[in-house]
Amino acid sequence: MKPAVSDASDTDGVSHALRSVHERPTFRNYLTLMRERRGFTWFSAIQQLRSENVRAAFGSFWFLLTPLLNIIVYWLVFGKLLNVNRGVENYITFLTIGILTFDLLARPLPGASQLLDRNLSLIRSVYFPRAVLPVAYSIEHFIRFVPSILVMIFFVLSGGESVRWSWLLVVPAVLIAYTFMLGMSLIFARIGKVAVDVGLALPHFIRLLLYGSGVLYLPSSFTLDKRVLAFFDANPFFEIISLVRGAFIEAQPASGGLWIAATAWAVATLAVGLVFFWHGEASYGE
Amino acid sequence: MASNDSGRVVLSVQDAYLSYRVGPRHSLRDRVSRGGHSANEIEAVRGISLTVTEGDVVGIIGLNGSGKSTLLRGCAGLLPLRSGDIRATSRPTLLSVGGLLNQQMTGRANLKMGCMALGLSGLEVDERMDDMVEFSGLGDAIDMPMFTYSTGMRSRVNFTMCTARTPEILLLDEILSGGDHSFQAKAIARINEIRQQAGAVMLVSHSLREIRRSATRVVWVSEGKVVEEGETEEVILRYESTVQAAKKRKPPAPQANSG
Repeated sequence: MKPAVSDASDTDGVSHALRSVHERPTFRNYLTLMRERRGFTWFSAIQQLRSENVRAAFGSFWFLLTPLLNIIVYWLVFGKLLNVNRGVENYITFLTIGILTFDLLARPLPGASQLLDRNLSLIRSVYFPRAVLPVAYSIEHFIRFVPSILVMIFFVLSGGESVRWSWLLVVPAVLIAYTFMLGMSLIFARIGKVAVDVGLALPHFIRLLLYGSGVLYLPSSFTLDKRVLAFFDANPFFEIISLVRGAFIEAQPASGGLWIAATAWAVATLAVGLVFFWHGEASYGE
Repeated sequence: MASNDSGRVVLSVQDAYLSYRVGPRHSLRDRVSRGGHSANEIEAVRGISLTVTEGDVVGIIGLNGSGKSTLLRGCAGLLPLRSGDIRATSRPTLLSVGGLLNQQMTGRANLKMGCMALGLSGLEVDERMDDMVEFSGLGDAIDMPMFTYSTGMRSRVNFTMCTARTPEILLLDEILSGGDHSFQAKAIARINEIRQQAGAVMLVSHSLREIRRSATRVVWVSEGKVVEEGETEEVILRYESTVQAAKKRKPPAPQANSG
């Protein structure tokens, strides 16, 4: 049987033309579709958070307890047990900001690489721009990060810093961090769909990144090698962590150049991430 | 073709091939032991062509694993085509069992999330929520988490959600099977309503009674190919006699449940 295709024969409306159901929308339309689903995006991010910890006695309190306990362990080991400072004044404050900011930047990535497969039954049930999934996922992790700011402030204050106007710089710094994390999530969501192996190797790469991003120590107090320091300065993870440290720690202000570099990284990563993810749109139901 | 030939074509499937990937595109094992050939794909639809016109209710019948559900997924643009072409005047909406539902959330939250996934705004959903809850007939149970629901209650939520907005082309996959008689009657009335609003429906069901009641014509699918297509009663009778004959020849074997 040869089906009749009546593309142009209908004259009573534009919408009557037959179009491929697998057609990828143009990038501009894609962004419009994403904006139309913003309600769905927020709702699913919040529902996801709500469904967590419901069985725990402390419930949502765990969103605060998790980063707090995380830092308390470091404080016990490095601050009390070993009493190290690794060449940094006020080491616990420095460490707290480093670890919690790094958690926002890098911890979502392994999950992002499995995101499309985890939601496969949803993807095969209804069409919506698939980028909604990594966006909702990044929002979920961003909300999860908010209590970490309280933990930071607690350790910053107990480390002897005083409240200053520059603390407000945390807001743009965290927005830069979010933008960067969203871009990375988009990129790794598609990579993880094509190559599951990347997702499996990712935790090890992130551990390498942990040591290469000055989370646990300040690189300049360990080496004077210009090339090594240049590597750190160009590393967006280190740059963004330094911005947050600069906002809270008086002795380590962030330079204007650092702000520009980190912003450029974040915006470029998001742009690349959106285009890269949109390109694979038709294949995510596989 | 037994459809009303005068109607406008709303969905056209041409020689469509659809498959599921069950493993990596290029695995190390394939490279080493299979000379680069991948054994990681299941071809569920192998060259199906059909045309759906305005007002059609096309019943699709066939045994489990014959490719019926896969065909619907392909028509909704949810599963990429291996080859061929599927065109439609607007993206068809697929209504199947469970894919959208989140067991941890309440029926109400599922209705809201599902409708928003289908493209309604939060405000539009809130406006229709009372009507939807009433249509579902779930009463107070709507505020209980979905894991407390029976299969029939789940299918009520699912049906209500997916027909909240009248899609031009609706694809139904075993959707009426779960609900009880009172809900089935309501659901069939709703399907007829959609049909009259210049829509078209494709319907997968194992209940031949249901197909007889609502389909305007029938496509019989086996092993990913169309066996026969035509007038509802004729095709169903031939399908039934073939299935009966096969039963007599050998005891029924369990089928893969991916149909």
